[in-house]
Amino acid sequence: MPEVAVVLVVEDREDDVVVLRTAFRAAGVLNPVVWVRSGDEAITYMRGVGPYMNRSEFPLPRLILLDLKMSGLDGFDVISYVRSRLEFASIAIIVLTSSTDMKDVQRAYDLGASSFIVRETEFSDMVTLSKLLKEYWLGLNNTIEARRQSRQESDA
Amino acid sequence: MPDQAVIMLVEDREDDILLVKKAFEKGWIDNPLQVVGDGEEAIHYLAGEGKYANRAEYPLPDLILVDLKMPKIDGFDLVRWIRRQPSFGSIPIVVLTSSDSIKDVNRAYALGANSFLVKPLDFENFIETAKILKTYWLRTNRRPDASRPGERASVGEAKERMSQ
Repeated sequence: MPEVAVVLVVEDREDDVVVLRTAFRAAGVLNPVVWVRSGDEAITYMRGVGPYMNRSEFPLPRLILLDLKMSGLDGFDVISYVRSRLEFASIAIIVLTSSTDMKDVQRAYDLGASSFIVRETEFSDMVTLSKLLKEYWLGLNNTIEARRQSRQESDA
Repeated sequence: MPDQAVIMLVEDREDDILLVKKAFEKGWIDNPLQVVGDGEEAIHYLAGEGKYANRAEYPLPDLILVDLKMPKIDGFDLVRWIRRQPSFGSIPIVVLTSSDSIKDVNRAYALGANSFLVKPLDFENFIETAKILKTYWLRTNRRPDASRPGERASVGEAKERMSQ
């Protein structure tokens, strides 16, 4: 079966996205990665409106990798929005940031983040982290997520 | 230094408890494992009530593995209860169950479970799952409390209890 689970990356720094994409490839993560540059764009994507209206072209992600600090609507706003919608409850929200501010960590969890990960500075460590993200969120959780997707297809 | 983060398993079936213990053993996971038999006991433990008042002996867990179908208070009600306690908001809750019902999955997530894993059917996979669980939730995931699990005075005792 081809791997179709989409990873939505919400990050305003292009450099960080390039590193992440490269690390994903090095780690053998072949899932489609969709990149949006702001919290506003992430919410537009999740709502499936405007340029993202076509769900077969812009499917709901299995996993959201989320930066916190962005201009306009930030990562916290994205968590609040996604967790306010029951139909998105099983989509994992992983905060991936350079911040180790304990207040940020607490707030992200309070709003409903699934997990909080700090970016690695060494590329080789980013590859290891990518492998782990794949093993955990795209591997172990696979069974049920597949069910979620088939349910969405039957609802559509 | 041994990893001393505490894992709590909330499970009523002896067979499944044994399976988790064996998988931890074979996967060289030496973290203290605190097993409670149902949601009600888990709440007593987490709230530090009765015999669980002694936090040295019954330390707060760093990861909670919870079954869904249990007598008295089930996994859903336990997840809901934990997420209503402000101080436990960041303890990762992983549902580990044989249920493959989409309704159960969505309900567990909606109540605040971090992750939902279907129990692996064969033992080798269970060992692998246990290793990844540990690497992910105890080594990689961040929580707001600054205290390192290794600094807990309680762990030695918890370990002794385990080996008894």
